Amino acid sequence: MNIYELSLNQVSSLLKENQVRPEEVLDSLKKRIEAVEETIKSFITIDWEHAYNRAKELEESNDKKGKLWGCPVCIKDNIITKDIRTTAGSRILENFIPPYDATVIERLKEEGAIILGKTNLDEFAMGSSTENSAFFVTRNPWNVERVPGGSSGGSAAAVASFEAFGALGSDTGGSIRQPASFCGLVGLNPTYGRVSRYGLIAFASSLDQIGPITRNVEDSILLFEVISGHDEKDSTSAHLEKFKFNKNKKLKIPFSFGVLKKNFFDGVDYEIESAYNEVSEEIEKIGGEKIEIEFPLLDYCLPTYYIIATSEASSNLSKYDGVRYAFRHSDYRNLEEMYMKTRNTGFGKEVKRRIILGTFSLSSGYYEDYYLKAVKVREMIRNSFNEIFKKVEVVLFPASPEPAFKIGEKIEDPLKMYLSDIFTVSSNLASIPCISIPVTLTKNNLPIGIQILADRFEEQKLFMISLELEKRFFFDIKKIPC
Amino acid sequence: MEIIDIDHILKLSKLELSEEEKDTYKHQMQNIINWVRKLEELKCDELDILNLEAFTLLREDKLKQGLERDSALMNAPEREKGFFKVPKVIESK
Repeated sequence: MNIYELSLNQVSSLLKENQVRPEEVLDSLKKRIEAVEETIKSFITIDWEHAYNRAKELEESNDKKGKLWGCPVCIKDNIITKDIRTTAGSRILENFIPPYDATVIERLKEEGAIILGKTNLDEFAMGSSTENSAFFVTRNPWNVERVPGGSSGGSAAAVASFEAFGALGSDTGGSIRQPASFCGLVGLNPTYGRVSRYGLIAFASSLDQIGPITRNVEDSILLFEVISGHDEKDSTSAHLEKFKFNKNKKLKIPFSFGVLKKNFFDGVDYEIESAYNEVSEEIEKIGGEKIEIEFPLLDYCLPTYYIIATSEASSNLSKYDGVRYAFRHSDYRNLEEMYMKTRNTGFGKEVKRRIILGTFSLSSGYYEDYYLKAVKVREMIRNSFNEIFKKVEVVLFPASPEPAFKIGEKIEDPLKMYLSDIFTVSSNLASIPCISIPVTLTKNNLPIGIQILADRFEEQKLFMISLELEKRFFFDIKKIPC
Repeated sequence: MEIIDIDHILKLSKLELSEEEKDTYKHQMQNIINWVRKLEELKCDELDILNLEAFTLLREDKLKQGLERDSALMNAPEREKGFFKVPKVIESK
């Protein structure tokens, strides 16, 4: 058994028991990364020197109190890491070296983690396939002709191909859960406010959340426990202590769970629909009572999401002006030209598209019909979920209408790409937690993930049900082709 | 149907596009906007935007140590004497 094949919890136990040393763990990962990275291309930056120095430092201190003592963790490259280049997948930040750590990074380090590398993503987290990275395309370890999903595709590909024990991603409209489902992994999008956004390069501030991508539910719990909790540096951070999973708490039997009516599956891959039905049957076996939910607003979630997210993005990305963050176009005659040329060269196609859409939605004469309307519809969506959670404990959604699609298949048609987020955006709009867990493989050997949604701050419930389902739907990720 | 004034939007967002890119973007944007207009089907005029579930959190106004000047400037493409250096902002007549 190679060390890199272990789960995050397993490697953490071995390190604590002196069975392996942090340096040996790094050696094992290094061997694996050297073998597969050329094909998969999960990482924008790997800082071996940093990682080995940190391993040495940990070994010398020998204070093994931290929950992640000696464990290497990978980070989506839109979360800033002191002294390690952070690009957000964009040319405009290609040489940006952050002078401080994001709060989640501080928390990982406090628990003894080693920051190993920064993973590829759609530029500024805008996309569903990781094809919008300014640097290169990441491949799905299950089938290298296909996308790993996005925008946290690099984090998902790294964990699925055993280049990482666990990783952090960010989720604005499904960017953790959809890649997790495409790569056969567990992806958690915590309740908005559960995890500090301080140091996350902003895309849409009212939707962004950081969360873990792991190979099993226990590892997801471990990373979430470490990164959660109030942070005064983030004014939207919830005033709650760190999350602590209660192992002794049992599911109250019977409990009600919501499922979507059959008509929601128009246009959904039949293998995904049958996986969804199987999961629903299994939940009934563990004491769930199925209730078909009314959610007539589902069709309105995507347009609402795209107006709100792009409006916020157009505002957030106005800070990239060539003054502060490393890149400035070399040829300009005045200030205006410096702005224009810097942004033109620095931003890729999709980012420009979203800035344009957001600017349009916020512009005079259109603001009320677009942005304000979307904010009102968002409120209707939130109210709709409030009503749903009066009747049921959790709700089941597919993670995606189809399994991982082919590289290049949707990249020329932005609207087609946007539609692949149909089942993920609603939980971000409602600020509720949601987990995607792998349940089966298609006949073409592609993973299928199913999402569980709960009311705000009910992550305990999500984990309890996920642990039960994991026992029943476990499939051997080691069969991964790469 | 909205006709997007792409030049005006580009000016607001400080972006430039070639004529060919403008056509492509305009066409794509038109499709996206038409799709977004689906929201018109929903009546939500009675929703009072000011009474939505939003609140402001203010912390005590205490002075704290910020970034050191050198750290704040370390990524600047051009700097001089401890400041960000930019082209002239106020044009002389």
